Amino acid sequence: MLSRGVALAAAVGYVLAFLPPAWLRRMWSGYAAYAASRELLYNTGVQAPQAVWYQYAAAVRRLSGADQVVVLAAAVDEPGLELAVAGMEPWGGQPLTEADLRAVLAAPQPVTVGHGQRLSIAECYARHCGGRYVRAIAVPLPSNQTAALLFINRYRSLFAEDDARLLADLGGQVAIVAERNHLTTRLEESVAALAAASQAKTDFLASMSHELRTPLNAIIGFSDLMQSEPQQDGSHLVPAEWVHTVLTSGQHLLRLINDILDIAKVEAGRLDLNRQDLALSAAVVDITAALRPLADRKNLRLDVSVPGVTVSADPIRLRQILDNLLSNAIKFTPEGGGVTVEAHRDGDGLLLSVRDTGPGIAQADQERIFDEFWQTGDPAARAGGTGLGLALTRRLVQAHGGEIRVESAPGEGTALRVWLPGPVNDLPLPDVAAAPGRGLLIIEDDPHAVQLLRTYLEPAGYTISDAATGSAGLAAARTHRPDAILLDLHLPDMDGWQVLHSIRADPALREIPVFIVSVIDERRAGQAVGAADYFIKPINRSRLLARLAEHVIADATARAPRVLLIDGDPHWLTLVAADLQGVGAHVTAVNDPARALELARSQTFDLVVTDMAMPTVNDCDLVASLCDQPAAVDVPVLVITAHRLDNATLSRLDGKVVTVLTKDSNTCEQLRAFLAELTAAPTPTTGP
Amino acid sequence: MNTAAATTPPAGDNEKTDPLTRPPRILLVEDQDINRALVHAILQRTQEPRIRGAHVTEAHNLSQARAALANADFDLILLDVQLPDGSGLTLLNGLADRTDRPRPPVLVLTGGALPQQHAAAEQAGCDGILDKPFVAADLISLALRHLPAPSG
Repeated sequence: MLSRGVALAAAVGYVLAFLPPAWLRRMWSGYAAYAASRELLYNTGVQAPQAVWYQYAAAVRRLSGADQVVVLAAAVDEPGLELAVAGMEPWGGQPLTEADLRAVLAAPQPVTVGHGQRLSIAECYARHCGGRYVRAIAVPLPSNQTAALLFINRYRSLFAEDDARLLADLGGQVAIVAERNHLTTRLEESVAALAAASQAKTDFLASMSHELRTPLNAIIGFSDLMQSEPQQDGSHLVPAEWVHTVLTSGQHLLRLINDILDIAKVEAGRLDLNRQDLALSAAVVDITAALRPLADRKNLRLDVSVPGVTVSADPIRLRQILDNLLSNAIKFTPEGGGVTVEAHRDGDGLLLSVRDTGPGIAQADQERIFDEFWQTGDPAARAGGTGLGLALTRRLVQAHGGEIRVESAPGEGTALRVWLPGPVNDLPLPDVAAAPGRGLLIIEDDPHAVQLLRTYLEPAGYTISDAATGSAGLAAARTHRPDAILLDLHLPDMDGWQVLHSIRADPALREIPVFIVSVIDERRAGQAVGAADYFIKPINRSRLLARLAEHVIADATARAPRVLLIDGDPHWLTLVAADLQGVGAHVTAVNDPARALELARSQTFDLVVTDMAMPTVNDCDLVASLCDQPAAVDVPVLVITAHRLDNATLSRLDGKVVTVLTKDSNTCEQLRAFLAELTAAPTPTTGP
Repeated sequence: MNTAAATTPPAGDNEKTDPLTRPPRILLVEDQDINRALVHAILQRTQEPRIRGAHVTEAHNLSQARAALANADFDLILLDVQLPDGSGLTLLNGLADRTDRPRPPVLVLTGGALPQQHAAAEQAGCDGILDKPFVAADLISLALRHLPAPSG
C-alpha cells in the first residue's frame, strides 16, 4: 500500500517534472511571461535601448532556465546582429549577416552542435559558450526586422517550444519599450540642444542690439545736437568733430551690418561658395598691399612667405578670411612689432598661418576669440573693429570645410592657423615673386652683394642684369628696359640718389619702379624721391620677393589705375579714397597742394582728381601747374567743386580739365564710372 | 589712463554752497570715447539752467569710478553697464553700503534694451534707465528728475 502510494507520488512527480500536463504548463508559462513583461515594462525606467535588451535577455534566461540566452536582430545601420546576451560574454567574432539569421531560424529545432555542419550562428555561439543544444525562435518585431532569440544549453532542455515562443513574442513588446526609451532620450537631447541654441540666440541678439546701439547713439545723439546749433543763412554751424563722429559711426554701423548679414548667410546655409583654384600668393600679396599702410603707420614688419601654389577657395571669401586675420594681427600688435604670413601644404589641404608679436591670448580666452562680439585688450582699440571678424572668419573657413586654430600664450604673440581642404597644386611659377622673363637690373658695385641678390631672385624666374657703376646702370636701363631696378646708394662714380634722379627725369625710364638697397636707413628720403621701396641690408628675402611681385607682377597683369586725389578736406579725402580703393584703384590722397605737385612730379598717375577750393593755392593755378608738369602732361585731370564755376573760370580750365563734377552725394558714383571708362580704354601713359 | 580723468575739478571745496544754486557735479562712467563726447556735448549745450555748467568727472572703467567716488561727492552718476573691467551695475552694490557720504542718484545709460537687462539694472538699485540711442532731451529731462529740486 505504502509502496503503491510512493510509486504513485513518484509517477506524479515524474509527470510534473518532465511531462507537465498542458494546464500546468500554461499556468506556469503564463506566469513566466507575466513576470517578464512586468519586470521589463515597469522596472526599467528610461534606460538606453541596449540596457532594455540586456534586461530582457536576463529575464528570459532566468525564466527559461537556459544556460545562455542571445538576442539577435538584423540591424539597419550597423553590421552584426547581437542586441544582448545573458549568461555569457558578448561574442566578438566575425560579423554575422541577416542571411545567417534566417538560416538558423529555418533549421529544425533544436540545433544540435558538433555534427560537422558548416559554421552557422548556432555553431558560433555554442562554441563561444560551450553549449551543445541551441534553440532559435523568431522574435516578431514591430519594425519587421528579422530577429531571433537563442536558447543555448549544455543538455537538452525540457523547456517547451511554445513557452519559448511566448517569451520570444514578448520581444516585440521589449522592442517597443526600447524604442520608446530611445525616443525619450533623443527627445531629451533635442530639448537640451534647443534650449542651448535658444540661449545662444538670445545672447547674440542682446549683444548685437548693444553693438548696434553704440554707433547709433553717436549718430542720433550728435545729429540731434546739430539741429539745435545756431543757424546762419538756413544752415546750422556745427563742430566739424561732430560731423566726423557721425560719419565714422555710420561707417562702423555699416561694417557691423555687413558682418552680421554674412554670418546670417553662413548660418542659414545660404552662402554660395564659388570655389576656384586660386593663386595663393596673388591673394596674399593683394591683401598685404592693401593693409601695408596700416602696418607702416604702426611701424610693423609685415613678412610674407607663401609658396607658389593654388588653393581651392571662393576668391571673395578667401579675401575676407585673409583680411580679417591680417587686420586683426596688425590691430593687436604694438608699434615696432611684426606680422608674418606663411603657408605650406598640410595633409589634403593647405595650412595658412598669420603670426604676430602682439600681447598674446590667455589659454582661457582662446576659444572665446571666435565668439561674436568678444574682444580682448584695450577698450580704446575696440572701437576699430566690429567684434565679428574672427567669428565670421571661422564660419567662412568652416563653410569651406576647413578649420581654424589659435596658438598663443600671453607675452608670446598669437598665431592663427587656417587649414583649407582641397587640392593644392604647384603654380606654373615656382615662387611667390615668380616672374619668368621679368627683367631686373641690379646697380651695385659689390660683386658679393650682386651674387646674393641673384641667388634670391633667379629662382623666382627673374632675368638679372647688373651694373657696377651709376653711369653703366643708367646705360643698361636704357638698353634693357628692365621691369624693376635694384639700386645701391653707395656707388663708385656717382651718388645713388643722383642715379634715381636721372631715372625719374628720363621719360623712357620714369615708370620703372626703383627699389633702393642700402646699409643706412634713409627710408623717408627714399619715399620722398619716389622709390618704390627701401631695403636695408641685410635684405629679407621674402619681403624683397613680395614687394617686387607687388610692383612687377601686379603691374604687368592687371595694373590698378593710380589716382592722385587732392582735396583740402581730410574727411572727404578719406571717404573718396576708400570708395575708389574699393573698386581697385591705387589712391594717393593729399590735402596739401604743394605736396600734390611734388607727387605729380615724382610719380606717374592715370588720373588726377582735385578740388577747386584749396586753401593756399589760387583756384586754377594748381590745375595749371599740374598740367604743366612734364610727367603729368598726358594725365587727365578731373575737377570736383562744391560751387558753381563761372564762365571765366571754366574757360581758363578749358583744355586742361576733362570733366568738372559737382561735389554732392553722387560724386563717388560718378568718379567710379569715370575710372571704369578710363581703365577700359587703353591710356597713352600705360606701357606696352 | 589709469586715473580718473577729471575734465573739470570736482567741487570738493565748495561743499558748503547751496546744492540748488551751484552747478551739479556729475560722474560719467563710460568706456567709449564717442559716448563720453556725446554726453559732454549734451551737458555743455543744454539751455537748462540747473544743469548748465555742470562739473563732469570722467571714469573709463569701474576702478576709475570707485577712485572718483572715494575722493569726491557727486550729485548724479551716469553709468554705462558694459565696462572693460566688469558690469557697471556692481558699482551700485558698493554705493548702497556707504554711510560716509550721501548716495547720489544713479542713471544707467545702457545699450542693453532687453527686458531682462532692464530688470537687472532695476534690481541692482539704479534710479533711472536711459536706453541708447538717446537724444539730449531724454538725458536732460531724466537728469532733472533726479537732481535736487529747486526750493518752491
